[in-house]
Amino acid sequence: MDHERYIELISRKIDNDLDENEKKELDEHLQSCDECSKYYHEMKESRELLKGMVDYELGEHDKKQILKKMKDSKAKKTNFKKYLPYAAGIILVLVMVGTTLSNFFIMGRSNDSASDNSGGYNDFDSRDQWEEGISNEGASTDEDNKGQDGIEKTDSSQEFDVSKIIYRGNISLYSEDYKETTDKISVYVDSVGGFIQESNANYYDVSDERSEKSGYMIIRVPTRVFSETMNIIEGYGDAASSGVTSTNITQQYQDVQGELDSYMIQEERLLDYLSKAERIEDMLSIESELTRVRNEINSRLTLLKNWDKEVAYSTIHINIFEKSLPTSSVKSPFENFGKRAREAFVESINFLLKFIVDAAIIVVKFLPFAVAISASAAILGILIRKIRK
Amino acid sequence: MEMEESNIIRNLKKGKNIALETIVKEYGNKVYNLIVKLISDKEDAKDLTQEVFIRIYNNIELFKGNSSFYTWIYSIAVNCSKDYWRKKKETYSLDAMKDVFYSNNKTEDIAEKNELRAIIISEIYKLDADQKEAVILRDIMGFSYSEISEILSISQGTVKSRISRGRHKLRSCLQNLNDHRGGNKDGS
Repeated sequence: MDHERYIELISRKIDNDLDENEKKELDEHLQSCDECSKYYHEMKESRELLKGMVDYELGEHDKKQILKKMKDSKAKKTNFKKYLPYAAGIILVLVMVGTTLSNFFIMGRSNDSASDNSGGYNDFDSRDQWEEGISNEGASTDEDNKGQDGIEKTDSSQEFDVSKIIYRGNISLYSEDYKETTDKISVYVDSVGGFIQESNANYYDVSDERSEKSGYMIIRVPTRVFSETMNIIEGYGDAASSGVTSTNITQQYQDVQGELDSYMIQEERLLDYLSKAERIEDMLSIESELTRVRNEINSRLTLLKNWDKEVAYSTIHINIFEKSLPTSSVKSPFENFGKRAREAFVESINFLLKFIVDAAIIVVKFLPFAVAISASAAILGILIRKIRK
Repeated sequence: MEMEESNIIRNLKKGKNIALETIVKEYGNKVYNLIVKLISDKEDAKDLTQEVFIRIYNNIELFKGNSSFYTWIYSIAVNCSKDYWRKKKETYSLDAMKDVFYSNNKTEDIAEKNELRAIIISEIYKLDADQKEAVILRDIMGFSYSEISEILSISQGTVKSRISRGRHKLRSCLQNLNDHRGGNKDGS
């Protein structure tokens, strides 16, 4: 029996798997070949013999047993899987809390150092006072004057403020109604305890139909409500631009204060000399010197007072333009259409590129966390498995 | 039926009791019957059936719906039986065969038929594992070629050739046995 091909055909014939051509081919062969014909019939016989065998069924008990085993197996298996997300979540939270805490600690430390610094200044000042005290004891002649001086010093050290910062803001606003907006601003400025330093308004006709109003206001508001005021005024119209500049004048302030202090001492001395002077020429020269010193003192006092005011009251420059509403003139919406379309297109492309780059950066940024988290989750998983085993 | 099946699978993935009960009810006997025929040991088949259902439950996530759910289940059963064959090297006794593969056909020559069948089946068990499982699935279980190809994850062509080779080998063995018997009456 070496008809390899017919063996398969016969086998498939038994299973009714032959197509017309194969069937025809095989039937022709079976008629001509006794061996194959015998083979086919024997095959079919033994195949028939295998049919109609009894089917087996499980008892109810067996089925219950299967159910129980299934549940047990899942319970064992899921414990680990079920807690994996929780574990990952906990690790994530830990990482985040850790980062926040470390940030907090770094900030805390810088705060500490800042307060240490100011403490240092205080120490310095009090030592100053203490030295003054000693000199007071030493020079008992002008004890009172010195004492006063000491008190003044203490005052200035109490006034000492690290944040001698002048804030200036400027806003350009477009509003529907110029008058209404300026009114609103003045009411608000009054309510926060500020004042209007300057205001100016222009009215001019652009064409027959419409006139434009514009103007500016300079307002001063207490520094503590500066940013709040900026926000509120920006809300009174369409803010075209707004900006804030700040100048830290702590250094200059301290310098001028020091100069003032030394001039004050000089003044005291001169007064002292004046009271002791006997000759007219002496008195006159002392008097003229005293005048010079007092002028210096006055100019410095004014400067300091101005600075104090600048620091206490922030300046905000507001330019207000009334939005003209061209109701009667027809304006073509297709003006500069090509240019605008091109600009919009370029803008979108830029935005898209930026978005893609940002997304990539974010992905890269979180990569280390993902690696760390998955690594720790894997270790956790292995540990849990080992423990279970 | 399709809808119901996908429902069962979804619930099985969630581990719902009702789904477990449903598949045991639906496939328990079928799987058990297949395994009995594959390993011809009714008691061991119970243990293997348990194993099959545990595997179904724990690997349900791996079932992606590329094949029918029932052929997926049967493929697990066949794989479990393969593991069993590998472990159990000893041959099967004819009496065990007769016990397992008796017919419920009530005809006169039932005893002789059962005897003959047991011989054939014992010869099937001597085939290579690949041919053995293909022949059992086709000739004893009556699965179609396409079902067998899904269960064994092989092409239909391979199924056909495995079955025809298995049958051919089986016939040669039976012929030898007959010749032997014919020549020597007190044999076997």
